[in-house]
Amino acid sequence: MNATLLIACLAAAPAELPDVPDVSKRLIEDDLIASLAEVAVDPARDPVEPGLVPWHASYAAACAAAAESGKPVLLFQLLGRLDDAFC
Amino acid sequence: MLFSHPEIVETLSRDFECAWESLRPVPRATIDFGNRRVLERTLRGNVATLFTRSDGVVLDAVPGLVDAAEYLSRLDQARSLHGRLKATPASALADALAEHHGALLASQEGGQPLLPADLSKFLVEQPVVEAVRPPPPTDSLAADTVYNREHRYPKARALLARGRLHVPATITRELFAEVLHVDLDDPYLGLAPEVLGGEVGRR
Repeated sequence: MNATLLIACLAAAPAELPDVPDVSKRLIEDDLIASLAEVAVDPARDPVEPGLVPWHASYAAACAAAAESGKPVLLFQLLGRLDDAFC
Repeated sequence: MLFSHPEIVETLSRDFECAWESLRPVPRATIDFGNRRVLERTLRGNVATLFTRSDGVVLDAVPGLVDAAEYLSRLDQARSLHGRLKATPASALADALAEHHGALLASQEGGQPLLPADLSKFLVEQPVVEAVRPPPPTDSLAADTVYNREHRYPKARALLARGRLHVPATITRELFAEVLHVDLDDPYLGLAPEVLGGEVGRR
């Protein structure tokens, strides 16, 4: 290492290292914890009730109903399940 | 939740035939505290709403999550479009949809056009417009709504304006990939670098 650079690094080094435990572990976990902290949902208290909207059992069933009723079809697509608390 | 909103429930019940489908499981992060308390959160989930005729032809699409007011507006637009195209034969439908979405794309849904007509004037005025624009909403769903309107709506419209008819089976993968940047075929849904290590984009 360049002597000048080494001296500069040593001069900049703190007298004491900060007391940060488990840095490698925290690098993985902190983002996840921050993400989880945004919404903490207790499934027992916040169940999803997709039944508030009269959902057909399938898209095909909705299309068949629409052919009778003349209404447009709405198909809601998601990753996960609409009757899951965390959708 | 959107589908518990009274006005949305009333509108959907009255004016639409509704169905939902799960495209694939969503990754879920769980923290078990060991005292019967569990914290759970889904990761990389996303949604899209398709509006179709009874024959399956896709008329419109709303990519991502939006707030109730925006969703009601889109429901109204879809209902109106469906009414206008109800009697349109399939042979003319592709052109009609391309024209509809192309026009909305050109107008940027009431905002400024993609290519300003008076470029020099635009370059002078735009900084002023940006300065007086209201600050972005701090509410996350409101922020998502703004983002979707400004960035995802144009991409979805471009998809629908290509002059070919789609049914859900033919548009879903493209919609999620091009507009929502979700590869439905990726077993890790983009999380492979975090789960397995390696470079961004690995599967």
